[in-house]
Amino acid sequence: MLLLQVEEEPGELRAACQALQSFIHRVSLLRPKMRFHYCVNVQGAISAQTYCEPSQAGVCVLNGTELVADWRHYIQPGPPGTPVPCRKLHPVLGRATRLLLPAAVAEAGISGELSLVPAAALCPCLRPLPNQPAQLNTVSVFCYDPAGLPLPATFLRDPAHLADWERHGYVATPDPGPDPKEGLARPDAGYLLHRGGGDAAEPGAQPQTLLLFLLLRYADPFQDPPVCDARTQQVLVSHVEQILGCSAGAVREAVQGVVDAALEEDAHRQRSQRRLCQALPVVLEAVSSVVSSSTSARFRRACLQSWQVSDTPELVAALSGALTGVTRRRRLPRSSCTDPGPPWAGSPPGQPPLPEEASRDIGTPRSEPAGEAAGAGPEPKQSRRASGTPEQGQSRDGAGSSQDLSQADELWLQETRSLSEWAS
Amino acid sequence: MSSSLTGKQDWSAFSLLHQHRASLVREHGPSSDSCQITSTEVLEAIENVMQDIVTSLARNEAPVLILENRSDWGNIQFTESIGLQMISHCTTRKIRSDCPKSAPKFALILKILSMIYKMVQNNTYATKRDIYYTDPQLFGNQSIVDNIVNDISCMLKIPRRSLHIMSTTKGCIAGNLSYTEEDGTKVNCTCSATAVTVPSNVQGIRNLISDAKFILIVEKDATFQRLLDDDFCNKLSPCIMITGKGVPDLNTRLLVRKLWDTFQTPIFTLMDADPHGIEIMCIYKYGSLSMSFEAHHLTIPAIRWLGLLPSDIERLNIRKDALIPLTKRDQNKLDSMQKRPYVACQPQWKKEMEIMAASKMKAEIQALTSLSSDYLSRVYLPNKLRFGGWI
Repeated sequence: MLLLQVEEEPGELRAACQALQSFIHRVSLLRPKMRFHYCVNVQGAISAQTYCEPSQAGVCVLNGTELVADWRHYIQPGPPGTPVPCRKLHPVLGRATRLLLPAAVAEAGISGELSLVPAAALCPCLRPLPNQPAQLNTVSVFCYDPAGLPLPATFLRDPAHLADWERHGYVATPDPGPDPKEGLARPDAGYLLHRGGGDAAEPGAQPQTLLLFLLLRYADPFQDPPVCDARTQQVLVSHVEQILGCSAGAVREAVQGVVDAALEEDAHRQRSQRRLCQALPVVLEAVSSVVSSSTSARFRRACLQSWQVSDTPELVAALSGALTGVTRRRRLPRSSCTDPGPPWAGSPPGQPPLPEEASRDIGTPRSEPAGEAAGAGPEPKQSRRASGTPEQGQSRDGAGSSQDLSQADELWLQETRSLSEWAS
Repeated sequence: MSSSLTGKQDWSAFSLLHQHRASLVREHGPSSDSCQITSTEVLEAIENVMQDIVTSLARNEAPVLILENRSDWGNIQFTESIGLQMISHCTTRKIRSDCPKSAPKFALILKILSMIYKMVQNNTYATKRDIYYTDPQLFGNQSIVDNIVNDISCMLKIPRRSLHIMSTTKGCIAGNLSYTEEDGTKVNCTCSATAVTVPSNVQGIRNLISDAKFILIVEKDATFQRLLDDDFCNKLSPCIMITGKGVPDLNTRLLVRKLWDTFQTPIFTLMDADPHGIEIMCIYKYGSLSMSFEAHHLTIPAIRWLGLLPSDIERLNIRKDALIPLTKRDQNKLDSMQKRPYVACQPQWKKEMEIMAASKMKAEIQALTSLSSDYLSRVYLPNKLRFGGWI
């Protein structure tokens, strides 16, 4: 529990409270098992919020890191009646990419290995409604340091640093001022996506956001335990721009992989929409052709009466709306969302992911690759070290040593001190 | 129905052929002509499909079409009297209108149904090629149209001709046969120096006249032309020769069936001694998997295998260099054919296939020219017919 007593101007206090609440919300996303209570008493007016994910079903695992997967943390619900068939994120996980440490970081005594694990998910998930038109129009970037704390960086504000968006027919521009939305986790960067070529969105299209999660991992084989301590954490955070800039190519390549995989789902949906859009008029034309040219009174009467219309043009108009409607409303069984999703970014088809990279929805049966032999990859050493991260998470949950706890507290306080800077 | 045409051969020595014909008539008897489906019935069948779509939309349900799985061996049964035919309660598949994968097929089926509807109303006909060219961009390729036409025929249980879709003819016929086409054109296959193209409207031909003692189905056009050049039809007159130029088209099969129904003349096949040749012979005799829903109008189980038998290769001492080794594909095809249901009731066929499998060699009909250039027409075929060399 952290108690603060401040005497500030109301405006500054409000901004600080919002920043504090946003920070807690962000931190809680990677700690679904912990319960975060936010409570502010301003001259008797109490603002309170509790963050936790009570259900394991609402959690997904990214390379050993748990992530709250309820879409309501990331985007605002649409107007009443907007279909949201699946409440969960289904992130695509990328390979861990090793980042270079700039000289300034090395000189500060940091000798471990830093890596980036990207993940991407379309939000909300529309897989159960495969024929529902969708419009991908925003990107939200959430970056976390090795301790699982938000890591804002100017580097992330340029969409070109993370992916070639034109590859998928999009033009990405920085979102000039994404207002913090009440109840939503505040991203470290946001972009607006526009379709190149002036393609207009289909009427009734469901807006979607691409969520990008960038998880930094640190491991030092010469430390025991090989985790990120407070000093290392401080150095990494203070040099984050240099670190990302130094490995700009690797960062972009890693993120591009998950963007490609996630947007393939978007592209597949669009291809499917096009197929349906081409087929439905042919169906209508064929039915109306037979009905209008038929000389069978029985047949014509049966068709017109079933729709309570008086002539063929009215029937065709009614059929057109009905055919579009039933097609759009097609719903797949709910189980369609429990599959692992598209293939892993960067993995050849048919090749299982490395054990360390395994991501699954909790509660979903899945056979785990057995042994380290299955994990023979290009960077096995790095991957093995990365697997130490859950232990760090365990200690932060209170199951570790007192030394780990004090390190965590120190980090916590440090991050709290820099809140006002982060809010700006 | 028949009247005498020209003839040169003394048929008294062909007692086995006469006996064969008599036994065929006893076994199979005169076949009744296939029942004709009226235009009204076709229109009603299409209207029923459309009405189902309209009413399912009125119920707020996405329309579906139910197609029988034509190409699934599990849906096929074999009977010696008919050949390969679809079972009455076969498995089906749904073609959904709201699934991106099946919606294009759903739309194309309806499109072709509406085209058929108009053709039947106007009493006009079109080939599958004509249908494809009405909108090549929409249909994509010819095979999609071919497949859908067969699906529609199977779904409505209406033969293709009654849907006013003609099949393109590639087969040829020659010999002791004359008939009148639907439009009144008289055709005499005897008089023609070259072969006559199989008519595109087989159901419409009438006044068939023939004294043929047998009908010879020749697999390949090259062999057919060679036999014409050798004046085979006159040397063994009266007879009829027909070729489907490989895998037979629908009209060629229909014509052979019509000749059988009309005359109950013994029908023999002259094929390459390879798995492909046997396959083609089986299509004439027992029908194909994809057209099994029309087996009643197409198959002729009375057909016999005259040559070239794999056992003939050793019996005639054909030179090794005239033979061709079986490819892996040939061997796979041979293996799969030996497992087909009709092979079980043809022990002699099975034995021939085993001979081919054991020798790992195949032979084209032209291999007989290694014995002499006109061995086929002068020696092989007359002797086979005289001494009952068919199985």
